[in-house]
Amino acid sequence: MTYTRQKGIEFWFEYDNVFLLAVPLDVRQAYAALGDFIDKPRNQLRLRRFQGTFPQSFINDMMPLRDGLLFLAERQLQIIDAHFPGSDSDVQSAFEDFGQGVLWDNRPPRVIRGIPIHMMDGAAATMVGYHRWNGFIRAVILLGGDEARWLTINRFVALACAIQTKLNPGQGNPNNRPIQSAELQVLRDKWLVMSTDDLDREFGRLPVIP
Amino acid sequence: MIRLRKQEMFSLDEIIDPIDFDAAAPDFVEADDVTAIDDITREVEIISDFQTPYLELIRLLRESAEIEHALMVQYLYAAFSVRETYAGIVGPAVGHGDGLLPIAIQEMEHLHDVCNMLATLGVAPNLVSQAFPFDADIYPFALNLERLSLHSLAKYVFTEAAAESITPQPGEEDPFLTLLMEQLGEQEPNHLGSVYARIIELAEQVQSSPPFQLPDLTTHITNLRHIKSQGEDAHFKFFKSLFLGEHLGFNGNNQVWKLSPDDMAYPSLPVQTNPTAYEGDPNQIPDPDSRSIAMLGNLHYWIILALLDLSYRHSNQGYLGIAIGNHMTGPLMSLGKILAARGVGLPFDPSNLGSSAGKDEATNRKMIRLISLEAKKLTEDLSTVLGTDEADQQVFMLQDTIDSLSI
Repeated sequence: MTYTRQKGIEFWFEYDNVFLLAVPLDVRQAYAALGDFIDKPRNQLRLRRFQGTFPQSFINDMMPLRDGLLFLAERQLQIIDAHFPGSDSDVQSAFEDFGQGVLWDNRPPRVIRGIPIHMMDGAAATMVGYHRWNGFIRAVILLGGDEARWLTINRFVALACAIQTKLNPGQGNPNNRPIQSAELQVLRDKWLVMSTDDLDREFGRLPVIP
Repeated sequence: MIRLRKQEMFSLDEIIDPIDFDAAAPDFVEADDVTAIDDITREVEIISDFQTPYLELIRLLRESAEIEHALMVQYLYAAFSVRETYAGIVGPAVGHGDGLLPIAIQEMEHLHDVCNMLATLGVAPNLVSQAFPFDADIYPFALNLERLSLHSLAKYVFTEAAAESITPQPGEEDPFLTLLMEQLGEQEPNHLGSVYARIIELAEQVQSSPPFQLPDLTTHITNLRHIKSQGEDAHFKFFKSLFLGEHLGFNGNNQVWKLSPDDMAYPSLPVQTNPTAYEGDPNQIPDPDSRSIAMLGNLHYWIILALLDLSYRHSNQGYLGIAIGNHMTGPLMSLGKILAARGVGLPFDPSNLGSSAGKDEATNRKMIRLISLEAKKLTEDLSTVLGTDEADQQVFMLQDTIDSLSI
């Protein structure tokens, strides 16, 4: 498959709707069952690494959330696979465009809410969404998720975070500057080879250092 | 303080028809869409303190910062009061989506935008926190820290409504408006929209004729328009759905507000209204342990405000990162829920120190470290009450703040 920006838009359109803006019943039920979970993986990951009791204590922390977290993880993979079957390079491109803030989408609900661009909410220090995602992925891996698959996705999350931190695109700006090829390669070389431990360390900083 | 002058209204016929030109202008008020700034139809006028657009702009931005701040903590308090059964109306701690927490975070983002604009204009942020009940001038009722209820929701609906959304149409019966009037009585529309309309007007004047060299304000003006429209649309619709019991988070029970507040199925916990952790105050939290936990919540709140202040004054996102990573997304949320479960609530008390008592960045950093050390000691003292896991988490985050500011 050849990635195009429009394919990236379609992917993020569905992704945002399912998990954030137009949440279907099954995901809503998973959220309700998980309760106030959104910061827990990230916060507990930081604590248990600091205490030196990671991974077992972190696994113990996350075990009560296992079913819900693995369900959400599976839903994420379903959407990724539906849009980019068998193509990690296309998934990477979708994340790279996400981080650049170049995916303008005129459709509701985003445009009605004044957030027409598919990108992480916030800027630099307020973009805690990427950090939460890293915590979530860490928990999924340790609770039985496909480690190799999720490490790949975690690297893409980190790369998008680094791109967005570096470029600081504006939500609602149709002319956000795309990243230059040389800049992008530097970031790819840094972030796409990191281990899970490396990623946990880098995501311990808010904002990250691109 | 925001003072309003109700304008005398002229109908178009009065202006066009010279026969009636000398007749006294009718004194009537029509529902006004304040996005159409028009001398003929403007309902209220914000009375200016300053004639210089730049000064008046700063003044009104500072006023709006205080209002957004008060709305944010009011909605947070309400979110913390909601029973776990109805977690669907609280939502996740993200800036978009459907729930009390997303709404509170959007108010925080409004405050963030206003403080950023103040910084661009060359002045200090305004992170003044209010004692509750807070009389915000532009609303006909005080803002309170209180449990979620039909009455509190009526006020939230009113707070976020554009005038035409809550103005009865002649000859039409609207059950929603009938219920709203039952809760609030007859009220004139709120004027926060008018404040933002005036701010936008002034910003455009300053942009076209700055008193001295200033950065471009275009992005800020766009953000202000977004703030104004978001409140009058998304927030209003959300609170209306809660008020009418129609939100999906009520699990299909649209009669929840008919339950007794003492009923275990009532949407919110019986938390104290406008509590304070200040001992000796008439509204003090009576239980000593709860009062100590509330003071711990205050310390985190003051640390957040001080870090935000540093972030805006010195254009350093690192401070914001510490506030978000170590305080907002962890201890503040936990303590809010812990206190609600204990029948009180996180008081968000104002501190005499304000958000920037130090005379420079270095001193402010030292002060935040000292407050963090005090919070860490208090957390350790409360570890039995909070539970070891919770206390460990908070101590870790406080130590990270201390270490980050020691560099």
